[in-house]
Amino acid sequence: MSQIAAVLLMYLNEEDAFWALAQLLTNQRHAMHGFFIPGFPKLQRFQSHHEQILSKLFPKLKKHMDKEDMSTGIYTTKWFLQCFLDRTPFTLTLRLWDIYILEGERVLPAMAYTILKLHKKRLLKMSMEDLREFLQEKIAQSLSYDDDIVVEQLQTSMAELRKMKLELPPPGKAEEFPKTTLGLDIPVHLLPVEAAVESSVLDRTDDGNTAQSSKPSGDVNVNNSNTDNKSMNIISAPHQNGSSRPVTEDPKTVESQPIKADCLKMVEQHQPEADAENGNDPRSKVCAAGESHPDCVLEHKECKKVFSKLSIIDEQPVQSSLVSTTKSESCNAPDANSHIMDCTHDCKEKNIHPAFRNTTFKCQFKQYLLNEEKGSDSEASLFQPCPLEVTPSQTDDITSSETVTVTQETEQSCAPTRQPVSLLPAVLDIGRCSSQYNNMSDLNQEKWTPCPRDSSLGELDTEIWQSSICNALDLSTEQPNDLGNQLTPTMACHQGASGSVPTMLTQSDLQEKRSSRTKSSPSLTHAFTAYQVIKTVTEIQVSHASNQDLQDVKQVAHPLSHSLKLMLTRSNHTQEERNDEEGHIPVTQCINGPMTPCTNFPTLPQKSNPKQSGKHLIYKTLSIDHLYSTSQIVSQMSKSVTF
Amino acid sequence: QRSFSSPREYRGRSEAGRALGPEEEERALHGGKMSETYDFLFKFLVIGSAGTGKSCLLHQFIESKFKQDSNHTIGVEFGSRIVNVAGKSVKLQIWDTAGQERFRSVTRSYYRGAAGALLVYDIASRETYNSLTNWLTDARTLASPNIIIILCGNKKDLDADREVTFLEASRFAQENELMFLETSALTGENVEEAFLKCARTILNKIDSGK
Repeated sequence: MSQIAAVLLMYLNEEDAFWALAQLLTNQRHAMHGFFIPGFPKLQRFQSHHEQILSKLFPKLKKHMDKEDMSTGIYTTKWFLQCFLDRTPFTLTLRLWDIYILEGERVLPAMAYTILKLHKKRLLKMSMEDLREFLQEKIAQSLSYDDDIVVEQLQTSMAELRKMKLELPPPGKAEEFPKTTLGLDIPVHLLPVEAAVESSVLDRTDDGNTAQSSKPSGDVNVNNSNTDNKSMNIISAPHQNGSSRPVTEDPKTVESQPIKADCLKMVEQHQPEADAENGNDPRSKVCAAGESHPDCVLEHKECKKVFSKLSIIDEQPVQSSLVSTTKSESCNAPDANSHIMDCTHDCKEKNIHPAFRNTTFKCQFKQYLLNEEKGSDSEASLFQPCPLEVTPSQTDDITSSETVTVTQETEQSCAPTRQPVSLLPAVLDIGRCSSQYNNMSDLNQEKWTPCPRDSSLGELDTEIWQSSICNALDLSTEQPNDLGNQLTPTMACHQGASGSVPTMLTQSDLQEKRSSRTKSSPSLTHAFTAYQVIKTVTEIQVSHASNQDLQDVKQVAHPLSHSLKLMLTRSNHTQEERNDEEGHIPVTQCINGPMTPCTNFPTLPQKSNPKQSGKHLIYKTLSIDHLYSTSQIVSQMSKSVTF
Repeated sequence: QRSFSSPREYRGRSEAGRALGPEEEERALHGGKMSETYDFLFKFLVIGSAGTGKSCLLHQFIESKFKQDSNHTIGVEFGSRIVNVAGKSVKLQIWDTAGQERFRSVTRSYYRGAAGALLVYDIASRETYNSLTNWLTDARTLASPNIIIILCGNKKDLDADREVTFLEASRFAQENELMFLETSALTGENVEEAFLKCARTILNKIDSGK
């Protein structure tokens, strides 16, 4: 493995090399994990497959090698284990690695076959000693053919093997694939998220999964998928139930209720902490609940501001349903932000992002505040549970947007033991550097700060708030479902954030987005279908991952084109929306025509999501700070595309 | 199915598991087509825990140079050199195995037919010394109970960091009927001697008719 890392380091910086290696080990196209785990199950699978090829295509050579006691294990170990590093001339090795990265593991048996094919006659005359020397040393010096010829031969070999259905060995068992995400300790974090899961949401998510996933699961960890579902559930719950407290009676999640209780406790516990740190008096329990949310905590300072503004806002009649919808919107908004951040496209969207985020957060706060000020116990009581449940989703979204490790935030939000306050403020700050992906946060800051919107945000808070309310009112009946669907993609996003392999995760988001988008805008859906067409060269079964993940991964293979297409198709559609977001115009629109605002507001996050999610993945994998700083185009061109 | 009449049938594979049997055959065989000619061909193993310097020992023996940028061996690597032992030219085919525990299962399959082995530990690492028993058992059971093994306390140049005394190791060697040398792949001290000593012992055994 060190050899592989060495090659990557020759051409990538350390961080990129790390992610590249992570991808090679975990993604479904290469899945080198199985090559290196104890017992080398994948290596043995490939070696026996190689022997099968030998006996079918080169029976003579096979016989000769058997006679000479030259087992395939002697010479193919390095071929397969590190894709011919040290075993072919370096120039050729690099080309093989290019192909390997692009095409995946199918190149391994094909290249092994090619080498034997090229030198078959010579090999037949060699003794064990010579065979060993030839295959291990002489070939490494020179294959005695030009690289181009070898690669051509390789292509024909691949075609041959494909025809004979010997392209790949039989799929590996589950043990070959990583069972946990790289680097992050997820299990602790995930539990709190589950608590929020609701039956209705679950059903929905399940349907979506089944529909999407006909194939074996992808690389993404099960944990992540769970989180997604959970988060989805959480988000959708408020919509469906309306303002009423989401029902936790999920048959599937037995743990949900106790967990919720934990969450509640958490909130209570955290309240004093948050207060102490911020020095603010949480005026209402709602506030406290809000604090449990990372967002709330982060923007605790803003809370005060909001309070002052609340007086104005209070006048508006806020229905419980309204509150719920607003919440959903707020949830969406962070998601959208995350997507925006992640994604590719125009600076405009990115610029919007910070503003949007702020607005969303503020909205949430305002909601809480409103509830509090109203002093209606009924609403407050209803609302408190809601924020708790919402919290995980929101946190997830935020985390995803910032590529912060989701797990930490979720823990903070839901886990009573941890102190969310300490971590969250860091996240809340513009820098938001708490995550591994510090660069990401930096990027966000850099790009967003220049935006005019940010500066105007403070002023526009009230407007935004109003607009959101308007939207909520208009959409309160209709939107919940849509929002839930829309939200699902966001959930996927946070998956990506938590996962070691961000790219893969994002694709799941994309799919979800597609599904969600179909409802919202058919035209866009059409565009997305093109993405689905993207061919995946190798079909590998990853046991632990969900079906969605797999599909997502495959799609991910060509993030660039994907994002570009999205941009192209979308640019027209989203233009209006962007404007709205930027100028915070939606308020007026909402007031004037309920229809337009309804579509605009909810759709915005959705539309942004697919693109952004795609980008999000890219960013994570690349983790290139400078890409953002330089130009978006550059970032799109990023090298990680192949992965 | 093997053609024993073939002049190339020089190794232990003719009788699986018996390391010393083949050598007697080998005596009659000279490398027919081979560019180099030799009287005997011995299959040597280099075994021992990871990081003890097996590959460096081999490299030092083959190239007479210290391998500066040595990597973990993957699977098995080879080296061969023809040496002159007691007037006979002997080709040593040296199988340098991976020391990492995870490769154990793989490398075990290469033990078969080995006539000699270098069992390597690091004098500056007690751990590598403690695991010698395992390696020894592997070699004796998988290669041959009669395999000639020489114990090599490598990294002799790190005398300051020594964790295993010469006395202790030599006692261990005596108890297990091993030859023993302290070597240094860095300086080259005793490296050649280790291989030659092992080859000489094997040759003596062959000559003595066993």
